[in-house]
Amino acid sequence: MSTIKITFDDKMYETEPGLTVIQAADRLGVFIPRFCYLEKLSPLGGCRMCLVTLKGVPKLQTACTTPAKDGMEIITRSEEIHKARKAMLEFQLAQHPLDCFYCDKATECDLQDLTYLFADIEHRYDFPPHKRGTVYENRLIERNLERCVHCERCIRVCGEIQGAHAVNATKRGRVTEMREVPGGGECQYCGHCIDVCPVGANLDRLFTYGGRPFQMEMGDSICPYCGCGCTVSLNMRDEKLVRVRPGVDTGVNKGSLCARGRFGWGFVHDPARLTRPLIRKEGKFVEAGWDETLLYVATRLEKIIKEKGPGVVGGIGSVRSTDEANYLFQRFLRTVIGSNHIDSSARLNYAAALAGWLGTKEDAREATFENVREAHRVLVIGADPLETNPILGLAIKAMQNRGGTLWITDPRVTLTTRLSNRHFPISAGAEVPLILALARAGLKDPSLSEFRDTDLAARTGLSSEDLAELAAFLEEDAAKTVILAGRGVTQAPFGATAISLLLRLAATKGASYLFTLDKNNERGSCEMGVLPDRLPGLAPLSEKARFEKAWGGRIPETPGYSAYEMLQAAREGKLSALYIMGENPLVDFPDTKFVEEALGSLDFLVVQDLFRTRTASMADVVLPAASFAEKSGSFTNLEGRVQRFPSLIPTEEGVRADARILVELSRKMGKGFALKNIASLRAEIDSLVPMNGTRRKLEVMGPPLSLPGAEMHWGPGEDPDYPYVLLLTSSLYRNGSMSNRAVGLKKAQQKACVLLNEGDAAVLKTGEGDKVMLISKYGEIQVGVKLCHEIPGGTLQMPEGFSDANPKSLLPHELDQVSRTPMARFVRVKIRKI
Amino acid sequence: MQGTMTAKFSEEMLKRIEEILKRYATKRAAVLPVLYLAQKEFGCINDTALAAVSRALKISRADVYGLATFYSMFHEEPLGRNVIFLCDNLACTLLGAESLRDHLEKKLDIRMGETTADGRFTLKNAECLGACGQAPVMLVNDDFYEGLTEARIDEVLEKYK
Ligand code: SF4
Ligand code: SF4
Ligand code: SF4
Ligand code: FES
Ligand code: FES
Repeated sequence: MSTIKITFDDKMYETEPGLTVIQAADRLGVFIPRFCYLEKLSPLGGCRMCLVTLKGVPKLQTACTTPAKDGMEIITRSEEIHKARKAMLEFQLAQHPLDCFYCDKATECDLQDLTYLFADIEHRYDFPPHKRGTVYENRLIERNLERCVHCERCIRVCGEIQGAHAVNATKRGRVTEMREVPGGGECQYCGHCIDVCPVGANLDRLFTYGGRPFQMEMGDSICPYCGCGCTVSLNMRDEKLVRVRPGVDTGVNKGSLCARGRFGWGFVHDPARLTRPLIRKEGKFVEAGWDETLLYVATRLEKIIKEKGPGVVGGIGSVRSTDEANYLFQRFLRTVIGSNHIDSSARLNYAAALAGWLGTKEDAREATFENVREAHRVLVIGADPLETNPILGLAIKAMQNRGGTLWITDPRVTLTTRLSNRHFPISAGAEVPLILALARAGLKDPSLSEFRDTDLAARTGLSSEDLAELAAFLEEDAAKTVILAGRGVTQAPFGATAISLLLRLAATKGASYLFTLDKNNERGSCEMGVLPDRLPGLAPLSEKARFEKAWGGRIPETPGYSAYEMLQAAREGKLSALYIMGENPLVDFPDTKFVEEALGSLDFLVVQDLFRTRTASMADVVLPAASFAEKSGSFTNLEGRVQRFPSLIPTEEGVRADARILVELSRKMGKGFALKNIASLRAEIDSLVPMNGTRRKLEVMGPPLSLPGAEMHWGPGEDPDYPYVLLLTSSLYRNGSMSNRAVGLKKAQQKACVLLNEGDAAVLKTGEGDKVMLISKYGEIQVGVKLCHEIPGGTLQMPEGFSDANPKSLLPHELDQVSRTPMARFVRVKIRKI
Repeated sequence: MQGTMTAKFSEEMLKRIEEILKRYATKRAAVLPVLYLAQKEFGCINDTALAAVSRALKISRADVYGLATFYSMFHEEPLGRNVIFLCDNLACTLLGAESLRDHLEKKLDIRMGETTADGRFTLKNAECLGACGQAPVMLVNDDFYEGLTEARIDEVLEKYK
């Protein structure tokens, strides 16, 4: 690469071309003060703190907007420059309230630091103070209008990076105020405007007066919410979390976080956290000691195994817990209990994607976040990354900012469809026929010849021109194309088959792919062998000898039940005991009634969790588990990155990490794991799963997947008794029991609501805020109405994950025959006004 | 926010917006003329107007709000039936705008920025109206009046009911 030569203060440097003067200075370690410049934002040139002299140019120039050119001679220190910068600072200070004493930004404030640097600042202005005060219009961010230095970093970060455009300069002039629109509603609570503010004008309201930096300890961890796996910096005071921030431009998130990562930590210190094991005695929970409880669990399990054999015991591992705990969990089930009935809620998504991957011979390139940022085209099928995986969403926005194009096929109206350059509104449940049509166009595979394009087009609801354009989208520029797929595909009938076709398509064209994963360790739990038919590293059961040798026990030969098969078996009396680690199927699994009956039919249910969830309330034994902040281990993100994190706060007395519970229980059952700590556990995993994360495609591959019949129907069909189609959506502000215990997320959005078309609302005579009852064949829920002009008549949209109204209880649990994943994207309902 | 998903322009205004959009390369560029229509339709730039503009032009409400609060001729509160803009910049001030302001305030029994109880007039100050040669000047709705005196003002205001 060519370089340019520039001179700073008579010293010659070489640097890369294409930088501004301030960028070159930063790279070379030359100091230039600034308020408005920030590398990740477009230059503004507003604060004039960065003034420098360019030799040969009469007036001072702003270093942040001046391109550095070969041969340029720049002066950064002189009497003139000092005076000019000081004058700018004087101007800022003339209106500043100087309330550093109780400003949460103090000691981390650029205005303080620069004032300290310039020290002898005059105060010649005698403006009347602008009593603009502080506004609390945003439920999570305090905006102190008086401290603002008008650098507009908040406006730019909100528009350019977050894409929310929620904050803008209002009443521009002498009293410019950085405000949201009255009534708000556009902020996505990423909190990025807090981090970039050079002063204490945007502050975290969950933190207010939480402590000075020197009173806090800070440590990096991994966000426990979604599959992005963002790096979070936990701030602790007196061993309690007081704030979460992104690391300084570290991790996959590069200095961004979403609302969950930043404001969702409240569950860690929620008073409802379990701190003592509970044993059900005569129908009631009583607190017990750990020793007693684990002995009780061991005895009950041993008795059941003795009477009915190990095949009546199953386990649900956790998409929330660490790789290490999941590894131990399946080892416990397989060798201590002797059962392959192991699964997790990854069955609802990633397990189906994995089934598709395992059934594909061709090896398509898996994308990284970086690939998405640098892509030219992204095609999203049946996913809403802006809600499920917000930081992946930001990578897509960054791609668009660089001129890239986002196309999406989705029956719903979502944040991602709104962001897209083109939205193809397919019919509900039409992801699979769409992929079949794309595969027919792109693969020329004779086995697809029984499908007719016109039939497929009719089922997708798109015109054949649209389909042709979509097919053509994948033909060009494939090396810079990323295909993103999510639950719209994985939760469809023949979803795994469709994934397999999509991967073949990607491999054939040379495009790369990624799956959106709602939960933080969906991928890790599967890769650690929390699957009924796969061992750690996705090894097939035929490789079991290697594991038996290492574990010193026997692994059953035949695959076990998947999640819903376990529940079905429980209902039929074929499964007597279930051990659930960190999952809440009663809320997170479709068909609540079915799940409840199944759990109710068990002889013995153990639930290990942070909270007494609805599932835990049905248990015979509840074991209080540690949160991510209180344990160490690793999570595997949606790219397959295995990210380790340390334990940063001590566990409460009575709470134990998942892995420790499993080790101790194994000892009580007389087959104790010889493990000292997480490091030795990690070493064991690494020895058994070489190159954890990079899967050995050919060795683990399964047989190709069967295709649906040409007559197959996918959509919700017709039913005059249930005239509306309810489409399930995802919400940034909730994805399970932790989020429902996080005060910050509850502030961001209090309750779930159902989106209803304006015209439908008029017919139903209901309006915004009214309560309605949604009734399906499987259940009913009560929920508030929100009107929407974008969604088509006859459809409703409602988010999953809110504890106040759970649309999963409206769903059936029909399973896909390949992946055993329930189809859970839509259901027919009727609406009753209340 | 309540109702922001449903706020919209009337069919007639939407047609006029279509026409306006033809003149610009991007929707964002049309925000000022569209805000002007919104003020006509909704009486002022209130939440509904902001939401309707945002929906019509696909830009955020905060961005519309930032613009609307910069230009003094967009109002967040509903105005009287007639709006008086009295210039208070240099030339007009030198030629007596201050005493005209006092006169108007007294006559209408309101302060600058306020609306009469019967809703007949709103009194606003204006930045230079670009007619310094004829100072002092005022604007009543879309009509321009120059070389003002107290008597002339009394006479002019009679025309506006
Ligand atoms: S929190 Fe994020 S979305 Fe909200 S105003 Fe700040 S930058 Fe914008
Ligand atoms: S609020 Fe902070 S980031 Fe925004 S303009 Fe003011 S000083 Fe800059
Ligand atoms: S994108 Fe996912 S991992 Fe990142 S902060 Fe948000 S919830 Fe956490
Ligand atoms: S940093 Fe250059 S003008 Fe603000
Ligand atoms: S100062 Fe009044 S018109 Fe110019």
